[in-house]
Amino acid sequence: MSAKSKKNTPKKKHAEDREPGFHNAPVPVILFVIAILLAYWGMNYLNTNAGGFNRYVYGPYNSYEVVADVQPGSGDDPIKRGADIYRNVCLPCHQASGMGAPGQFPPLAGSDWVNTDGPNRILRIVLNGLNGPMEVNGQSWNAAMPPLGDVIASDADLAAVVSYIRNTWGNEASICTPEEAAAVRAESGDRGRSWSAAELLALPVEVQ
Amino acid sequence: MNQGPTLFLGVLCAMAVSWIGFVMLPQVQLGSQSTRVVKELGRHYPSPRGGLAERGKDVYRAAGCASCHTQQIRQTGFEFDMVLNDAGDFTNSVIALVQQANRSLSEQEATDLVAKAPITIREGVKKEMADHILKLFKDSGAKVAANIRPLGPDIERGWGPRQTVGLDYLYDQPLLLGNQRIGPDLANVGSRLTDREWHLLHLYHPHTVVAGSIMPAYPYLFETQEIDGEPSPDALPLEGEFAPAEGMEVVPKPEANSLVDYLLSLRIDNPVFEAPYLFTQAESSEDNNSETEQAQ
Amino acid sequence: MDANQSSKSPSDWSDIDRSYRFPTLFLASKAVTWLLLGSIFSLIASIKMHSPTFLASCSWVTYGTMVPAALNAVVYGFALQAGFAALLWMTMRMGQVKLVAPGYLYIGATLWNIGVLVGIVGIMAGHSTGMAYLEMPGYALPMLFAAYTLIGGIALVTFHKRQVRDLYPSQWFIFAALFWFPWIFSAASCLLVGSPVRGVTQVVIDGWYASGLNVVVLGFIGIALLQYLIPKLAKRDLYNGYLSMFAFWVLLIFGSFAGILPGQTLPSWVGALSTVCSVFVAFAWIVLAYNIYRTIEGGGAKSDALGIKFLYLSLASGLAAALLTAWASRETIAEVVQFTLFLPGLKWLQLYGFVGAGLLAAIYLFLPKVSGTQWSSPGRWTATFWTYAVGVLLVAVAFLFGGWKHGKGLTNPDMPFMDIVRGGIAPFIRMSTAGELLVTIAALLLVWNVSCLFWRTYSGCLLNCCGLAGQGGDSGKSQSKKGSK
Repeated sequence: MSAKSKKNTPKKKHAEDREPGFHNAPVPVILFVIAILLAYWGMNYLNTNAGGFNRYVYGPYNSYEVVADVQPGSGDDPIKRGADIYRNVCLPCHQASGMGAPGQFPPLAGSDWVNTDGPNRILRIVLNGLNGPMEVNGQSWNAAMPPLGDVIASDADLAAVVSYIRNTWGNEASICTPEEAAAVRAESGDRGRSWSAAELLALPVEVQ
Repeated sequence: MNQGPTLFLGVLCAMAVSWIGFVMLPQVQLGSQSTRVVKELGRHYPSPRGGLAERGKDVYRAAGCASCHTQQIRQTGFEFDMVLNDAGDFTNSVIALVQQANRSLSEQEATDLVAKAPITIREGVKKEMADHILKLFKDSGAKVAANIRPLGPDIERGWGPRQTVGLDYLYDQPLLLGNQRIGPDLANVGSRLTDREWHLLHLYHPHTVVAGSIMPAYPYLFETQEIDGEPSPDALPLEGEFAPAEGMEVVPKPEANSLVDYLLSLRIDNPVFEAPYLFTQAESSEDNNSETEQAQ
Repeated sequence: MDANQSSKSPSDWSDIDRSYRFPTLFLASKAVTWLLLGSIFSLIASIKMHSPTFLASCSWVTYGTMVPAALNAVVYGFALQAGFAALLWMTMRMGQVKLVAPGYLYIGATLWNIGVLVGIVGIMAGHSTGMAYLEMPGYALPMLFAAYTLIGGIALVTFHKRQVRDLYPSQWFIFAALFWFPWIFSAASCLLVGSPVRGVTQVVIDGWYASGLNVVVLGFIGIALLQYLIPKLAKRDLYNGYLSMFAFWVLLIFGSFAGILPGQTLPSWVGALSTVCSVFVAFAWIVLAYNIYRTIEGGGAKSDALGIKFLYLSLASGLAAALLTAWASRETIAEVVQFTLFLPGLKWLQLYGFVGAGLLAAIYLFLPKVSGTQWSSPGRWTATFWTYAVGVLLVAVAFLFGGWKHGKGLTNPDMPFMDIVRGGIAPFIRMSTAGELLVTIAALLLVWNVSCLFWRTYSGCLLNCCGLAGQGGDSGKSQSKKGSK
């Protein structure tokens, strides 16, 4: 401390107008200790309160899973729920009969793409859209399906509508569970661009 | 740090971190939101406001209403009401399970409830208890649902059925969310205060409808004109100290009318994925009944 | 390792100071005029809250136009302008370099004032953009940006040409503020006004801009003043440059996102991230305050009693604002204070208490040096200080306490809204009106002080050019024509 007062005596007797200088004394260790503790607290706080940095997590909900879980009607029969969603989202193009429109929208009824062992490819088409030439039941189509991952935001809804498609109009494929929908969304939900038929055919039908 | 270039590089890096973290990433995440089909409404939500309401939004912005009023409803928690939808075939075991779920029920009460299904068997439980009750009924053949109810002072005060979320403001440019509640919140005012005349009187002079209000008056939105033979049908029913001079009437200008149209278009009355609650069709039509300020 | 500059100081500063005379006086006099206008607007808004028919028939002076007009006048008209003057003077003093191309500075300053005037008139005419801190309509913003290019450019060139190459800590803060402002201003102008982003992203970017402006740009100017003027008046050296460095980097990186309290219509991560940043900012402020405390510890009387009072007010307000923001960011507290008068209270502490008082100290201390004329009435300056300090603290305390009561009322769903207004809002707004009246009086006194100085500095040379030749005076005065140096 005494060194400080010595250094503070101006060497020359200047007028009032002396510019201040500064010392570069060693920084107390406590500063780093507190800084590290604060950084640790910060990371913990973000872990618990930031909702996983997910855009759907607001206010009192802690994570996307909780939000998806508390949706009303989550315990409903998925086929009935899927019918509701189909009517609101898919019906305008693929029609109530699931037959689509010739030259424009491929049929879902009896389609070889829908009646697969697992819902992996269909989930990806609904999430990210499909573009380009494809073959459905031997016929060629030029697909132009928009992505619907944001429109059908909940995994339960996504599983429900896929289950409905796979079990109506004579289709008899397996139900899609919300877990499968969640797994596929986690993998390709942020893809940002549509699939092409070739890319999808290279993927397995089962959800991994 | 005695070198200008070192300092510059450091500041540039800090700027880059700040911009990427707080501008670019939010834009990537939130700016790419699009409208969404809401099952309960059966259509895309939100929908753009009509023309007059858009002009009313301009009046709202120019007058700076957002300095005193927010358009944001908060939610601080949630709880569940357990509803027995269908008792199934094994009513005796279901009655026992209902008593387990709600220990305050006697056997007679539980039997009555099961007979009246669908009916609420327990209200206001937290998530863990709700999950536990759902598990209880899992293999009983009965259908039980957990209906979520949002909690919070704003919601309990009647300002709205749920919190507002980003999706609600997709079509707003600029956002006029406000951050001061010197006046009540307006996010759902179109469902709460549906009387056009009330709004016009309130804008002309708040004391006509709310005694002791500290809201300034906006008489420049109105025209005081001579009564030309018959009084105009738009004239405001002013009395006492607020009434204009003899032979004069107060009529709203187009700005006042469009502002009221905008206020009436402010509604948050359907659930969304981020802010779920149980939506009943009857609710939305009942809410259209006029309520006064006191009922807030 | 001592970067003590006193051994290199010139014996006579007047040559360097004088190169900066007209631009400083120009910027300072315009700045204090905007402070006066801003406080009048604020006062009008405050009066409207208890007198609904006060000036109600004109759409140009509604509450909702006066509040943003006041804010923009004080931020862009007063704080940033006086801030430019202060940081240019500090750059010159610390680098011991004359002002480069003062003519361009004068053009830039004029353009800045025209831009602010157009912006304020635009807000009053109803063209406000609706974005906090950026309400000035789009047509005013390019003028401000062009003006800043000139002012900031001159500042950087002057900085580059400095004689003393070692950098005092205040110079880091000045440098950062000079770079940060055009960056956030242009980004926010483009993304919020020019080609607006969609939805609630606007709220996030607006919050980023407001925080950047408050904590980084204005905050750094205020901190630079504190770290320069307090040791100067105490005739001591700054205690530890490394502590300043730590605070500098923490505030620079995290300062832009502090202050967006949780509870708004945004995903939870925004509020959580902001809380963490606010806590870091508060910690950096504690380090800064500690540094200054150790600098003046045990020291004797300061070389200017009034100047140091302004600076202590500034330091205390800045520290209080940072700590209160961090405290209010916690979820349980934010539930109470969000959307209440507490937020304007924080703004008053930060903008008027911290930045404002620091800039007033700078005006008080350096205008006489730069102009070569002393203040004619120290008594009037004492009155200015006391009215300003009492006024600002009265408003801040009224809003902070009122906000808490307001918030408690809002969290009680059984309390009717009118009861909240009667108990928690109206009385505190009345108290704040008294405070705002005091601040307006202080601004009036300030304008009087600065105009007196301006007149006394230039009346000599005005008389000279009106033909009263032979009045030599010292070389400085007779040479100080407009921007001719």
